[in-house]
Amino acid sequence: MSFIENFKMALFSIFSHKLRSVLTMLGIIIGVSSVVIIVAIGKGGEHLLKSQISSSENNLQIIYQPNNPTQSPNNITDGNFNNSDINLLKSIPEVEDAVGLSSRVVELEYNKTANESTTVLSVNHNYIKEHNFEFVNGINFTRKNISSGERIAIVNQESVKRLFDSQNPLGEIFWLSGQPIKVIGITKNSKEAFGLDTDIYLPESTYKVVFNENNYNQLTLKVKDADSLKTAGEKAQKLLNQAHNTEDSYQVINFKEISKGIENVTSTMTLIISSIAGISLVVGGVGVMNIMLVSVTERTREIGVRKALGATKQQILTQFLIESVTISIIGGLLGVVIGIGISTIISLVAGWPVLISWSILIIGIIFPMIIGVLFGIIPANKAAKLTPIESLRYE
Amino acid sequence: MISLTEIFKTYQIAEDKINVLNNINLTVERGDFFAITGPSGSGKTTLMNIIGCLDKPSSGTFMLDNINIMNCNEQELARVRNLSIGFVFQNFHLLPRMSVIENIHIPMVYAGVPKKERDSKAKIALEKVGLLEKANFLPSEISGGQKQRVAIARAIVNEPEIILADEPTGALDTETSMTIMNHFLHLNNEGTTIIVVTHEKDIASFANNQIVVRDGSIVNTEAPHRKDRLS
Repeated sequence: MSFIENFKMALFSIFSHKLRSVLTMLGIIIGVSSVVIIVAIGKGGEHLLKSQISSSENNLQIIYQPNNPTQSPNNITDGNFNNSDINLLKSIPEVEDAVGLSSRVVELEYNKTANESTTVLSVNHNYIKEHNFEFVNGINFTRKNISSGERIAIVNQESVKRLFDSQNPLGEIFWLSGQPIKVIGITKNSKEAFGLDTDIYLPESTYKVVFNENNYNQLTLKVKDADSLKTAGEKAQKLLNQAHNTEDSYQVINFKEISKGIENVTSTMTLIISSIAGISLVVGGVGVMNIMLVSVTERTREIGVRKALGATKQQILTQFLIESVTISIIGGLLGVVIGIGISTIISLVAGWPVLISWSILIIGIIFPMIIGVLFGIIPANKAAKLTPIESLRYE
Repeated sequence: MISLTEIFKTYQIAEDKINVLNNINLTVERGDFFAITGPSGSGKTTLMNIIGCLDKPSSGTFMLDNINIMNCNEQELARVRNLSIGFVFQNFHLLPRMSVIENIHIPMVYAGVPKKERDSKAKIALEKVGLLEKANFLPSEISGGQKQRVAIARAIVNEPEIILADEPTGALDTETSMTIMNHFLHLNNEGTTIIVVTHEKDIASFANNQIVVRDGSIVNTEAPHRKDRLS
């Protein structure tokens, strides 16, 4: 007897007991859909976290973080990087570029009202290139703006609310360290997991003039080849610590490693939670077995008739096995559909992209199939072992 | 040809051995219309189960054509039941959720007959018992006599050499019983061997050969005067 014949028979039997079949599938449906949802949430969350480490893969950030400040011959403010540091780092063969940025917390004056403290960041061309500002209003800095020292700034939405009383500040003048600066653009809030939340961006040259500051407090290394990230980082750390005569005050943040770390954490979490959800799949399998056993008892006469008409043990076994596998797979597919539906809703609410991979097909089809076979074998075997005479006599 | 030699069937119940069949020797020739009669509990159903390869004797020799049934495994027995024997039961044993024609499909499904051929063969069989117009009815929608005719159609669809009928008229009224028996007579005239198990003299009288079973042994072999009810 062909597989299609068996499959049709299984569908026939499933559809002639609709309510019972749906209840049997419920365990599988819940199991599969929760695994799908958990995996989707895990992936979405991971993506969100990774996107907040706004840096390309070839970048390293160097920070000044003395373990023991009193031991250090330099004081805290000397933790800044100067131009000779940058040139030193540029001399490392693996390094393509070293870019310094400055930021500080200052008082902002606007409309002659009370001063507000705010975080100001100097930006250069590279920064603008890598951080795609999304503008709500106004325009971006041009290459010329960056170097000409114009008194202009870009502010973000959050600071509009806090510093400008939610008024549209485009074209308005505010004061930083006694100097007037004009707002030319308003961006959406940046989502940076590390570093300070920046309120106001100034062109590099403007920052230098306004604050009379030639040093940088953030330093990013761009490495030629992603594979030499670690070597470059170690070399940079060593050079800086030597140059400033410190032991380990300069440290390297490797975004690639952080990213990998996040991936490890989220995938471990996802695995743990989906294993727990997977238990409900097993419980669903027990449900399938239970109903199949009832079904075999109920259909004892049918089995007897089929055997009298020429069905072999093997054919009866296959018939019932295919039935349990079909129930499980239909349950699995329904679970996948429901799971995808719910995780799409969750992604929309949480604001991360819908990340559903093909691997859920394994969860949705292969797992239920295995469960269908595992938990179907006992009932199917029971059916196959019935003797025709006794089952024909069964009332 | 069916040949049973020194057939014994013993059941072990607790510590007692119960002999259901005691040294049965029986030959049914090809084309026979054979009746097995006897009171209930005599062992005639057990005998029929053995002839139908649904059960195996405890000892003895059973040859069906040239197959030694005693040496067959379960799969081979299923094959014999499928192709060489057609069963007709007292309670019809139609599968309730399948239509009339789907019920007739079953033996052919196990014989591996392709769908198209199954359809045409099933229709021919249904036509033979005069129920083609009921093909898509459910068993619950037709009368007892019609159910038994469907069962006959199902029994003959694989064109077996032997039809085994266990009390085929036991659940039917006299008039319907006669219709059913006439169907068997027709089939017998076409060359099919018919073996009927019954305790009714009227039914047994259709046969040209008859045995009476009592307490597990054949007590009487006779060739009754055959009633010719064919019109």
